[in-house]
Amino acid sequence: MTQNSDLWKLTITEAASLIQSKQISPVDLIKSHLERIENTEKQLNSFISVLSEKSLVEAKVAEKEISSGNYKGPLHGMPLGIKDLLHEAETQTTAGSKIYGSNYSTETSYMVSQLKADGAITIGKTQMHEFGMGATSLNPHYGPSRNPWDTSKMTGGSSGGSGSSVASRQSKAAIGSDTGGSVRIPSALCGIVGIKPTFGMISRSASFAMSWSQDTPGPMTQNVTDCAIMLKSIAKHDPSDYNSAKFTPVDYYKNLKASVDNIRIGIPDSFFFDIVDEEVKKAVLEAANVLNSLGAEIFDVKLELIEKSLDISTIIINAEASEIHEKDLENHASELDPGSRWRIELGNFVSAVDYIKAQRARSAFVKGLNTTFEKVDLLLTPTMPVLAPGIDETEILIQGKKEDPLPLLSRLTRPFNLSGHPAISLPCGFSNSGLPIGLQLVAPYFKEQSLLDVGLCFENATDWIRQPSL
Amino acid sequence: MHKPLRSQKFYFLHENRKPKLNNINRGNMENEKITPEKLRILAELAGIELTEDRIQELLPHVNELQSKIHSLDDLDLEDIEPITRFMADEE
Repeated sequence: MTQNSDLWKLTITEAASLIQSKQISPVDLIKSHLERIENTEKQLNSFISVLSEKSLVEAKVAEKEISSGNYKGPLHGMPLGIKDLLHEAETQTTAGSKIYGSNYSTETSYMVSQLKADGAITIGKTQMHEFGMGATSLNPHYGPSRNPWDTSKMTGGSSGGSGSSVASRQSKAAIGSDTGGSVRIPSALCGIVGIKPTFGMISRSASFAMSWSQDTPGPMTQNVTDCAIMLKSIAKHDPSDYNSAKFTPVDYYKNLKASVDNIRIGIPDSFFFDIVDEEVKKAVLEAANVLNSLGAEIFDVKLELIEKSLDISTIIINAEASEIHEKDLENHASELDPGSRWRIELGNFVSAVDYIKAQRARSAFVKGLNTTFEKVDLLLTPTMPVLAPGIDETEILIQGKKEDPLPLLSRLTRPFNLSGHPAISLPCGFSNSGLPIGLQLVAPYFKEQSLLDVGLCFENATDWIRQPSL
Repeated sequence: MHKPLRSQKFYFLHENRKPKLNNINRGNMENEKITPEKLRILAELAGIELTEDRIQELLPHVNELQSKIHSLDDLDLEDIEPITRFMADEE
């Protein structure tokens, strides 16, 4: 029997079993996680706000519901971290910006309301890169989130606090949002599972936007099974979000089966392995071998316009972010993170013609990817080209060349925000220095179940789901 | 919030504040860098105020962006329509 003080170590699946059988209560669970946060938060800085009192009140409600026979499922009583750009009524929602430091939400986002309807409890609003405009989570207003595997290293971002809170078990799972890799990047660097679902599958209502045509929230979890539980809860059509897709909801958890049967995996023949740390490359290719040995067929594939995808993405994101944050620039320019400021300013120099040309190029890129998915079921790439950089590193040395961390960190993830295809990051190894390495799998639209099934198969065959010794 | 924020972007209050459009020839920018003078004019067209310091700070970023924009010029986009709705509904 797990000691109550150690409940923070459990996965959602393990804790849910104890809650359902009434061996532990949600109050025990929340108290254990609050204690975990208290013991580790100074080292990690995962949260912008910790909701101690609110989460305990909600845990008591959950306890009553369960004791009266109203058990809602595996998320009932689970403490989650929510990225601080998603509104939840009666919580502070800053989007990682000083400008919104005193902003208290009066409404709850559709996605968070789905999690709450399933009994989940928000234990805190997680640290992030200001407005999600960067992949480092270095934040001048709220401080950097720190990697639980080595607190001198970055978590990656922009959902950095979500990554560190899950990896360190401060929360059972977290929600991030992904415009250029912001779920997958911290998932890979912190050694957890993170999925960016098909664009439009998760509602963005009542959240701060960065790019209307690419923002995609997604779950970050300890393992694939927990990811399936979270995705089942939030993947629903929301009529209040113009870009919410219409699709038949899927029970990813119930349908989950560890399988690579009849799966054809394509490994791109260029771009994804061109600028990559040797240890990352080795771990990812070894992961491909493991999947091959489990029965997946592996093919080389060529991705049309992949080299152009980053330029196309930059043009579109800059233009959209500039329009979204126009008022922030107009009224609060000097209070912005300098990095956010120049990005917002920059988008003003994208003309309407440039923007539309980029959308035409995007259309051609998507067409090419869809053609590739007629030949293979999944793509396999590294999630990140590098290991977690140091928090103070302003340049990263890779293959003898100094690179700027910001564009480099999102190099391998942004193409699939541009295309809207679902992509998952799975732990696939550790460096000699003990830092996690992530594997990215990409699927055709709405084939999240394939990502989870193959991910579970890989997870069962390896032992890369580990807990830092923090 | 996923709500567009609108503001008046083009506000040339006085005739003499209008940028001199004939100073800008975007067609020739492909092979030449944007100068501080051109950036000043582009900023005014875009309706944003930039101090001299900001002009200097932004200049390399604007030139990098322009090179990305021009990198699309060699694509054959004949018969390719832009994506105008990004959501992929399930078939």
